[in-house]
Amino acid sequence: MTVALLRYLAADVLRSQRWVPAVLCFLIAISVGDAGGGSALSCYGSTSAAMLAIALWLTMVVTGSEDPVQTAITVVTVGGASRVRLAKIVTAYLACLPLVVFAVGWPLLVGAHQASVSAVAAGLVAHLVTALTGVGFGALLSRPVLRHTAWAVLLGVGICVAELAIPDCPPARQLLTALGADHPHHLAAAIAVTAAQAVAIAAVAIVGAHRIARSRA
Amino acid sequence: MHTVDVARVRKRFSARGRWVLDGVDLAADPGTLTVIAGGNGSGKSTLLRIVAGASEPTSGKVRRRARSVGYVPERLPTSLRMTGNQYVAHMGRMRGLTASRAARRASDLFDRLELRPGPDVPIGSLSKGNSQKVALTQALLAMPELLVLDEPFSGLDEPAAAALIDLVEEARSAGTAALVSAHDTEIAGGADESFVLTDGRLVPGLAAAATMMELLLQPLDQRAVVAALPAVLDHQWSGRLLKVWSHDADAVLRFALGAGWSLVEARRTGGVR
Repeated sequence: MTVALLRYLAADVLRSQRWVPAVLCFLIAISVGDAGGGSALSCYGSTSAAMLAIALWLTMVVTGSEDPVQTAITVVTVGGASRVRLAKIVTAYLACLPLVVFAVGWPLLVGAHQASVSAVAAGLVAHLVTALTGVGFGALLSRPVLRHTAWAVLLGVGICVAELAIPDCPPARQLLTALGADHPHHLAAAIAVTAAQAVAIAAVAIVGAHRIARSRA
Repeated sequence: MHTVDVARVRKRFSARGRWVLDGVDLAADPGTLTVIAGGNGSGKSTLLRIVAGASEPTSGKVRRRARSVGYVPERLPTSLRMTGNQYVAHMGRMRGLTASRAARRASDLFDRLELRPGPDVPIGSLSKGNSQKVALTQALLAMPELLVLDEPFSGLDEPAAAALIDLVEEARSAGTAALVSAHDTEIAGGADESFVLTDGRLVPGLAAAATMMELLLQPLDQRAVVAALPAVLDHQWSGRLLKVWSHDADAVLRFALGAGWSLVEARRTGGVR
């Protein structure tokens, strides 16, 4: 995987404009989260949960952006399908980073929130972690792992609902609970545990997606 | 040492699907031209994708794969959202070329292939032949070890086809092994090896011995006609006229006359269409 490959994939996705609905939805989610009042931390809790859904969506956008024939040329040019698949996942995660920065900065700039450095750091890590998990799930729901978009969308919505509805489900529900508490205790430790679980989930999802995709190449 | 070497390659696209490739052995040496012919759906593109590294076989071995490959698919997708220059610049960077070197080479190739209206037009708005020229340019930017061209002449005008033959020759002179699926007699005539892919297997040498017959048919269901014809390598419809290429002209002729069709023309060719 090279910077040139990432640049090409990013340029292709940017031109497709398929990322626009996902980004607009996230901006709406940030506005709603900010309008809900409460502390900056509770705001971060809701926007980091939204980040998971948006990262999943953006990953599906990035991995599905190229036409299969175009992908074949890219694979041959860089010398391997694994590199291209990994580069698409990295591109999707990189695409989430401006949204993460925006989500963390927005409540401080526009809202009436005041937050300590530790709260901002907790919010930053929470968003990075949920973005990573969203990218992992997105890799599992993308072609060639799932070939039908309808199933991918249904499963994606199901995963997002499950992440919010199942008590203590890592990482979204756990972070929502931890950051939304009135007086969060041991916040750093809670986020660290959630982050470790999220990284493990993302790794399993990405490796699983890669193996399935390789078997279907 | 071979540039590419695959052995007993089989490929199917679903667990119970038919074998598109059924035990293919193929090797190409540096500086050689190998032409693969075959009818529509015979598996030429599938084989080329495996050899190029864009796809994996269901079973069999890829003993050796070239380190750098230039690959041209049958058609560059119109969904590409870049201009020819932008796309080729990205491909050049991915191949490790500097921007200026890639631009110089691309400009030269675009000129020789006569890309019209030009390289700054979105690929999606180009004709099939002109988008094919962009695909050829990206494949030839840096001289690869292996050049894989899937029906590169389809849609190309005559000057571009002639320029492509020259470019393939230049690549061969530089040690590039070229693997071409072609319906073109000119390039088949200059091939070091030619094969016909039929029933999932490569049959050597038949491309050079093909006979083209033009038949005038009674109005019938076209698919049924082609399915019934024996030993057909390739075919092309033009109204009620059917051109068929075969290595067993007698069998085709017997069948055609038995069906009450008229033979308009029959001639030997250097290869299939």
